Amino acid sequence: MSRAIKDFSELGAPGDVMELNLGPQHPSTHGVLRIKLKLDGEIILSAEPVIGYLHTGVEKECETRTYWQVFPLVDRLDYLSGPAEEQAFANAVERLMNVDVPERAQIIRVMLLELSRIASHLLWLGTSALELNMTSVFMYCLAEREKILDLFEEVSGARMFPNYWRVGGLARDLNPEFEGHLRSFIKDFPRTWKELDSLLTNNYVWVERLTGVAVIDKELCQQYMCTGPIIRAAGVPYDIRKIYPYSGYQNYKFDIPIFQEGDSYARYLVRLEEMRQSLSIVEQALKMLKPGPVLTSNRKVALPPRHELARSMEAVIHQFKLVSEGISPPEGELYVCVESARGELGYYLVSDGTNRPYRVRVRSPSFPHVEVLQRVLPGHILSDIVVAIGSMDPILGDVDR
Amino acid sequence: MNHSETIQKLKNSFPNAVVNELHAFEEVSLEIRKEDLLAALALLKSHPEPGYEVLMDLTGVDYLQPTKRTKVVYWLHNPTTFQRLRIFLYAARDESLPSVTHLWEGANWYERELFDLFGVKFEGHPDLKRILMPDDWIGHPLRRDYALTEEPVEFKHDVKPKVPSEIIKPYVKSNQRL
Amino acid sequence: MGLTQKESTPFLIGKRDKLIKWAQSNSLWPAQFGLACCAIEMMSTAGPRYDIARFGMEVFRASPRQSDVMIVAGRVSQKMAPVLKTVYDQMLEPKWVIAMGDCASTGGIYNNYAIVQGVDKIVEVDIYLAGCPPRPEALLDALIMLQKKIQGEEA
Repeated sequence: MSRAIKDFSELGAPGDVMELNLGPQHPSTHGVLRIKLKLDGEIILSAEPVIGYLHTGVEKECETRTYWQVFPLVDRLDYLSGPAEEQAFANAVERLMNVDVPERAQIIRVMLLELSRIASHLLWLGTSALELNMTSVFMYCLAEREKILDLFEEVSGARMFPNYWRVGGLARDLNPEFEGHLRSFIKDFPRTWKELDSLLTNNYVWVERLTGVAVIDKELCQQYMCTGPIIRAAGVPYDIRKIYPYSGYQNYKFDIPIFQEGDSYARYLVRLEEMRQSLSIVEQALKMLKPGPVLTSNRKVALPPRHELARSMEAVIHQFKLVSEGISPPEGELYVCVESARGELGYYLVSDGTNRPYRVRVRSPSFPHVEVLQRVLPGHILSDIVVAIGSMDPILGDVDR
Repeated sequence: MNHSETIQKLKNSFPNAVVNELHAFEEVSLEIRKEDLLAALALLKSHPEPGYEVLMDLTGVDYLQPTKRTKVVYWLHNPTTFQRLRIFLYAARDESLPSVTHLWEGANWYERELFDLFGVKFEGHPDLKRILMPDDWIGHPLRRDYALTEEPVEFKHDVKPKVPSEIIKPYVKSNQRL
Repeated sequence: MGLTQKESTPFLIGKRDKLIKWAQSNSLWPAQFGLACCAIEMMSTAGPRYDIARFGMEVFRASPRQSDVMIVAGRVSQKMAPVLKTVYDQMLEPKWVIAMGDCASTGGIYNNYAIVQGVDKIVEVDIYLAGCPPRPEALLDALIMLQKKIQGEEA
């Protein structure tokens, strides 16, 4: 099924091998990834990815900030699905402190998470098609993504990094006009989805370039801890939203797309179908939305509302302590995972009782996906590299942290 | 096989392996002796029981008290029953641990990252070199005694330069100790 | 620029410097140096809503030898700094640099061992653009400011 060559006996003669550097600055928009290649003609003999060109030291920086100050730092790791990172960190602190989240906040969180998943998949599709020189698909995807970023801006003020999650809920409630805009987006998106489907799924060039490239089967997934669309395209129904549900995901009805072949075309089909399922989750969430509070009333964790500050002395003291010192979870460690657009995003949080986290470890989904390239690329030809990297969907901010 | 049966089977096969056992936040953590690490992990990985076939994460936490050491944490996942188990052990400053790349190939880069950021060496690793920092970097950044190396922010009008991590000071509750 | 036009053979007459600078500023070709989150906003600027092609800049050249302006979009880490200097040196004169975003201008929200605190420690910057990430309209504003700066320069 794979298009890779398995018989290397006639290749690799000492005079034929050429070393090529696919450098950190190259026109693929997946970030700064460097691959050292050894080629014989056009056939790849070995590929070694080199990372570290975007290492930011976020994990060390988190140790010197209070818990609230960690949210914008951690937002910018996986810069295409910022809401997923915020959700995971907020979930970790909430479980550590045993804080409950009101129901309206959980429903709004699910809506924003699924919208960011659709936006991330749209950008992935646009850039993957752009690398194969299909510029019009790029334009259609970006135009649709702008509508989602408009919705995020209405909710929180910023397009990509909302900084909207708080420990125990959300920062503020929704605008009254948000629902109208969301409904018009839900009405328009299926037409764009059908357009993208008709442009690509049975397109001869797309199918020929993508089938048989970078086949990852179930065994390789287990050895290399791949998750997300990669393992679902290999036939394993592993989705954290169904297995370890968080933020009320057990109340929604949705399917997980599974395919058996494990090549790039199967991953494309998985992500395409996931966009449709995410839209149906957003629709269900909008129906379930009821008026209520969006932030927990536990004053040791969340700021009191402004109108209380004029009346009550305790509210002023709580506000003062929260802003000047921050929250202090009890000692302990735990691991929380979330299904981001790329796979399993996990946070291993170690707390020592002070107002600063002792250790924040981000288990990023793209780290093993870049590692598996060195097993999967040899045997393919040079023009398959772009397709293979694109179908893994790595985000280098997450890999290098 | 739930967690207590797994721990019992591990204790039966390797009598002195489990040094410490912690149950918190619905998670189970076991501290294992360094000599039994590879055998214990191979036993936990065996199919069909206990069946922890996937190593989801391999990371470390650095401590300065009571001695300078690094806690290396293995987070195991069972793909059929979806249970998870944490195995950890401590490595002193110049101690080296056995590598698990023959059990899970993907642990290669995780161990390189541990060497790069914490300075923990692994015996039996095919190619232990730096992965995230430049190749000629000196020092291991994520250790607790490595400074954050901040640049002080300068202000106008005789305000002294300030460093961002000192603006909200660390706060220790009086009845808890670091 | 003075224009005189005859009916049968139209000409465009002006000072040589002004014509050269007009041509340079209206067809700046950016070199792709998108590193992190700001690169996504740079791609949005090239998208259909905030169209950068109306300024003549939709051609993001991959090779630095064919480009005029380098938009450093994203955080520059210690390992990436020599690569940045190499790409800058490979560009041909005249060249300009826009530091897009907080991380490229001053180090942004990261102040630690791994991030170079401002790209102006490595290359010479013409325009600094603030924002985390700056909106696409802000990037267009920076490009128009660069165009005005080029037209005001001496050749």
